[in-house]
Amino acid sequence: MIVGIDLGTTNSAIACFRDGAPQLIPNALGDLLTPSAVSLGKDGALLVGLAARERQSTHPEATATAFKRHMGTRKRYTLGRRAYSAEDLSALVLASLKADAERFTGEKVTGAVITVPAYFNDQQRKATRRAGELAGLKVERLVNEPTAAALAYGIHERGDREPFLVFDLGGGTFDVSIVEVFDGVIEVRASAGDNRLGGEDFNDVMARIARAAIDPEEKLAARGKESLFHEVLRAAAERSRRALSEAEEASFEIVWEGQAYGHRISAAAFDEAVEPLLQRMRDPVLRSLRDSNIAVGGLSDVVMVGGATRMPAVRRAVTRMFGRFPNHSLHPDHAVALGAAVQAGLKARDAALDEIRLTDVCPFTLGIDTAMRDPAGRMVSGVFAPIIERNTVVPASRMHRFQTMIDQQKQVEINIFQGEARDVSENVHLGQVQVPVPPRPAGEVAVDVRFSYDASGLLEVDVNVPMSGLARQVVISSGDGGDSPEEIEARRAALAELKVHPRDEAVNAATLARAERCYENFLGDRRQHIGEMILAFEAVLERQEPHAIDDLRQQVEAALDLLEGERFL
Amino acid sequence: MSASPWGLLGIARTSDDGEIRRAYARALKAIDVDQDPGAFIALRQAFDAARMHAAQVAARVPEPALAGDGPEPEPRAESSVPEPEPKPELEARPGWVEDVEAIQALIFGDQTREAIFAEVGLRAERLLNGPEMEQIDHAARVEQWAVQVILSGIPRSNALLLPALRRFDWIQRYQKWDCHPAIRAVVGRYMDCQLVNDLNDGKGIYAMPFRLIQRGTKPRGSQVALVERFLAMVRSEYPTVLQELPPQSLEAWEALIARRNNALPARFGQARRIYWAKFVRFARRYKLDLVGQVLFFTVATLLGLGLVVATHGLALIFLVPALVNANKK
Repeated sequence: MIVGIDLGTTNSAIACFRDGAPQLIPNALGDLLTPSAVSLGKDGALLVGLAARERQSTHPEATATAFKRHMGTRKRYTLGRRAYSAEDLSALVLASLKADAERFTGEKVTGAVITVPAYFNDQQRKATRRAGELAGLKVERLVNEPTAAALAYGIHERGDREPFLVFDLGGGTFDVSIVEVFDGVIEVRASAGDNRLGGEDFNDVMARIARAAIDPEEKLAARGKESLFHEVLRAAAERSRRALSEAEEASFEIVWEGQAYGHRISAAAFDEAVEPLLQRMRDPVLRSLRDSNIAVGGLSDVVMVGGATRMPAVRRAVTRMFGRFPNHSLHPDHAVALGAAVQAGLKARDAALDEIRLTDVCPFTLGIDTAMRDPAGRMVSGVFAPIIERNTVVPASRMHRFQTMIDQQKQVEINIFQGEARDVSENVHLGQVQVPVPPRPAGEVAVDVRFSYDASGLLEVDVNVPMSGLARQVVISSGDGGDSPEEIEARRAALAELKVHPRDEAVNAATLARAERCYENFLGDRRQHIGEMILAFEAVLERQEPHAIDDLRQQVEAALDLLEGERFL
Repeated sequence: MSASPWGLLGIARTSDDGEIRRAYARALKAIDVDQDPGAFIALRQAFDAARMHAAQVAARVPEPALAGDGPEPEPRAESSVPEPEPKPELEARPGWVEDVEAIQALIFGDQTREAIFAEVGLRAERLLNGPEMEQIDHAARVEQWAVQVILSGIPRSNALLLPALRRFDWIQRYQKWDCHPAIRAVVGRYMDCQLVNDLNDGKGIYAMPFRLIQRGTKPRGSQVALVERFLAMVRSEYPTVLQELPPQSLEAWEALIARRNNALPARFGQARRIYWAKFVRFARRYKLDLVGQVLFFTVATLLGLGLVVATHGLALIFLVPALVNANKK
């Protein structure tokens, strides 16, 4: 069975295509969303999901969250004695989702369609693919998140549609796609985005406002506890940001070193502080409109997905931007996973999707570096020459001809870049090819460079020198060090050896972690009450009596709901 | 590529966009894109070519029903031709329309630059930060208008340039490979203004020639080389700075430069002319003005003479006694 996975910054979800419709799969806790968090428990076992996220503010040094923001980078998260890359952590989340799906459907999961932000670059995409392989999944396809959302929307309301815009503001990334549906063809016209803009940035703003009020001299987090304090603030910020979505004012409360601090934040103050973030959403929107050559008046709808689009500030900004109210008919958290499941169904040639085809675009420009002479005759090197321009329908294949610059040049070095800047040093370097050329006067030797880009983001570069008949080829997506099959296998084995908290006990672990977090968040009588509950719950867990555990867990959850309001994902 | 697009799509030549899309959808469902990307690439090329054809036909025969449907063949060409009176669609809306018209009237009017500067700046700030600018369509139209007014209003449009540059992030856009040439020109104009500011502040070696031209002092031979280099630099890299300089003074200097480079005494023959040209080139390379040239040649002649005297002297001291001795023997 092929599943569709939305691997998100804050939450992930998994869905499958069954009986002609995509369907979300609940996790061990019965939730449709699984927080993308990994934490190292006291017993040395790794917790994944809600239990891990609850530990974020109590055990920040043993917990990793929002690691998708560092996908494809060298950043390492140290949990206990072992350091993990963002790929490893994502693989753990994927493995847990896979286990959920196998339990739910009773079938073996062989392959997966994983979604990535449209504006993820090649390195980030490769890392995501590796994460899937590390989790023991065959990654059939990487799909852009807004495309997946559009797919869910297109299946949801079949029939031809004028171009509509998908506005996807998630936990860590922002994407915009313009999509058109005709005769069963779902065609992405253009995608643009910002891979460093999301709900987490709004939380940071919230935390900054609160910190300025609570701790104006920044004295509270002395003695190397800065990161712990930051996590405490972040967790509280998430809660008050959610509260602000429904009320005009929300309280921001933390308990730090046995003392309670509070601050009331008004929606107006928050809106003003996030204005720079809202401004950053304009540029990708404009770019996608410009690239697809569509005016705002030509859009039939603005479809909102992603958890952060629940914020009133974002909704208002979108309304102002387009001069109309956006469409909220899709579930902001589920749409991407459902769309991924549809793509999985397409991949598995599900009969219900026989008349549906999807074409996507390559959201980045791909090209090589060149040199040229400026008007004064000086040579300027490092000028980006695009070959496949962004928002070209994929798969695509384009060729450009280049000439030598220097007399008697013996070799041409071609560096492959991805990005939009004219100066190549600001773009992402993907690879290099060197081709010997016959020595001739400058400009006499031509070199043909052909780029072929497929739907999964695999780039093939063919270099051809017609004069000498010499040809070179490189495949970019596997040329990078560190992902030979053996190495992947070794890393997978290493990850599989890690002790992961048993899935059956995930519910209890989550409740315990939540109770511990609440213990730190309250003072006085309430704190004592929670402390007693924790002790009682641990005692029951020790005795391993399933019924007593279930009863007590429900009691604890109810008591905590009463204390701090319903839990959220 | 080789066959006509209509064959691949399986339809007769048509300009009906809907029919082309239906044919494309039909053909797309018949192929497996993952297995055979080449077939898809060919189909897609046929589809694009067919739609291009349809759009061209639609543009040639102005049918109101089709005009809004297909994409125009030249999407962003409007802004590349700066006309003095390009206006965004003026619907009867007061606030910003008034500002747009006032700015245009001031920039293309006949008051002095200094007189209009403050008012254009004020109106531009109001126009660019108005509540309507939140709407991206309106913002895009205003941007296009601003580019055209700035480019066609050089050098009187500076007051609009700065707020617009800030509002639309043009400097950032300038760094991208697909930056529109008109925006590139506007940022170029901004850089020229920066240079003028620096020169006004007396920064750099070119502040002096700049001041000489600007003040309109009578051109003098001693500064002509520096002025010439300054003008060459401006011409190749900061072209709009020329429009900032007073035309009469510029003309006077250029006349002097031309006279110095080319106007040779008429009585010179061909051979002498070549010699003269070599001399001028040499002088230019070593950055000599007229006084310098004279001085240099005097010194060079003296040195040459000295060398002759010195070698002859050596000959007198060593050679003559030796000859005398030999004669004696």
